[in-house]
Amino acid sequence: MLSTIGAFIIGIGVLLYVMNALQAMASGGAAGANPWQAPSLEWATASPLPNYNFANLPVIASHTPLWDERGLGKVTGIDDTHREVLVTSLLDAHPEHRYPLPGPTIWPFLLAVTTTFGFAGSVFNMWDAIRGGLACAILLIGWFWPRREVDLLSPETQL
Amino acid sequence: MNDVRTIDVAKLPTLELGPKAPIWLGQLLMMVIEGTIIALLIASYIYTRATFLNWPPPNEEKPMWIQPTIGLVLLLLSAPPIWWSGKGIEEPNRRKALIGLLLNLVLAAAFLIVRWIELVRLDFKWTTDVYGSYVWSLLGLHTMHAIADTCESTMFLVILLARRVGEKQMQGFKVDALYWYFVVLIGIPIWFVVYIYPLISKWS
Repeated sequence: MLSTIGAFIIGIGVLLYVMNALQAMASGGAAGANPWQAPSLEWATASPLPNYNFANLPVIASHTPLWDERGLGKVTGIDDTHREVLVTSLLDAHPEHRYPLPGPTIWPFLLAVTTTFGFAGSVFNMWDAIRGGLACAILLIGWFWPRREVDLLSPETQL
Repeated sequence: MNDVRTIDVAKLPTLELGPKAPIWLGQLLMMVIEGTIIALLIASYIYTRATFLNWPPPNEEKPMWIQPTIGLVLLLLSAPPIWWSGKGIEEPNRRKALIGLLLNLVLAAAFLIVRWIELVRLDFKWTTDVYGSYVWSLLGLHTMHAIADTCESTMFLVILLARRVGEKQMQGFKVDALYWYFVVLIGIPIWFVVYIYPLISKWS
C-alpha cells in the first residue's frame, strides 16, 4: 500500500516534468547562459556548452564570482600550441608552474591491449604474466623514449 | 585586493622536479598502494605465524640470514648514488648524473644477483604450504619492483648517453629515483620478516 502511494507520487512527478518540457518546447524562447542569475562558475560559460568549457581559465576572488561587480578575471599565457595545464597551490590556487601534457599517440592503446592479454593469459598460464610484463616494458620504453632532439644537460642548451 | 583581474602565466616555468609535479605525486600514490599491499602481507604473515607451534613448518629449513643481509647492505648502499645522480640532473651536471646512476646500477645488479641466488636456494615452492606462499609472495613482489626499477634506470642511462634529456626526461629521472628509494625502504621490513623474524620468534 505504502509503496503504491510512493510509486504514484513518483509517477506524478515525472508527468509534471514531461508536461513542463513539452510546454517549454511549444512556447517561449531559449534560456540564456544564466537564467537564474546564479553566482557560481558553472553558469559563467556559454549555452550550449562549448567542449572546452572556458577559452581562458577564469580568475575569481569570492565564493559568488558572478555577483562580483568587476566581472570574471582570466588567466592568459598558457601555451596554445600543445596541451598544457596550470598547476597551482592546493588551498590558495596560486599559479605555480605550467605542466605540458603529451599529445595523441598510439603507445597507450598498444599498452592497454598487451596488458589485457597478459592478465587474461596469466589465468591459464603463469608464464603469460612474465611475457606480458616484458612486452609492456618494451611498450612503456617506446612510449617514454624522447622524440625531440634536446639535451638540457649539454652546455650549449643551458640558459 | 588587486584590481587587475588578469593573471599572466606565460613566464611561469614548465619544469618542476619536486613534489609539486603531478607525476611525482602519482609515483608517491603508487608507492602508497604497493606499500599497503606489503604491509598487509607482513601483518597476515605475523598473524599466521602465531597459529603455528613451529615456524617455519618442520619440513622446511630455518632461513639462512647472512647472505640476505649482504644483499640488504648492497641495497642500502645503492640509495645514496641515485640521490647524488638526481642532484646532477638538477644542477645540471652530466658527469655527476652519469657516475651516480652507474654506481646505483652496479649495486642494484649486485643485489639482484644475491637475491636470485637466495630464490634458487629455497627448498620449497609457493605451493608447498602457507609459509612458502608468504616467503615467495614477499620476496617475489620486492624482486619484481627491484627488477622493474633497474630496467627503468638502465633506460635512463641510455637516454643520458644518447644526450636526449629534455624536461620530461628530467622529471622521469627524479621519479625513477623516488621509486628506487621505495624499493630500498620496503627491503628493510621484508628482510626482517623473512630472514630474522623466524629465527627469533617463539611460540607463546
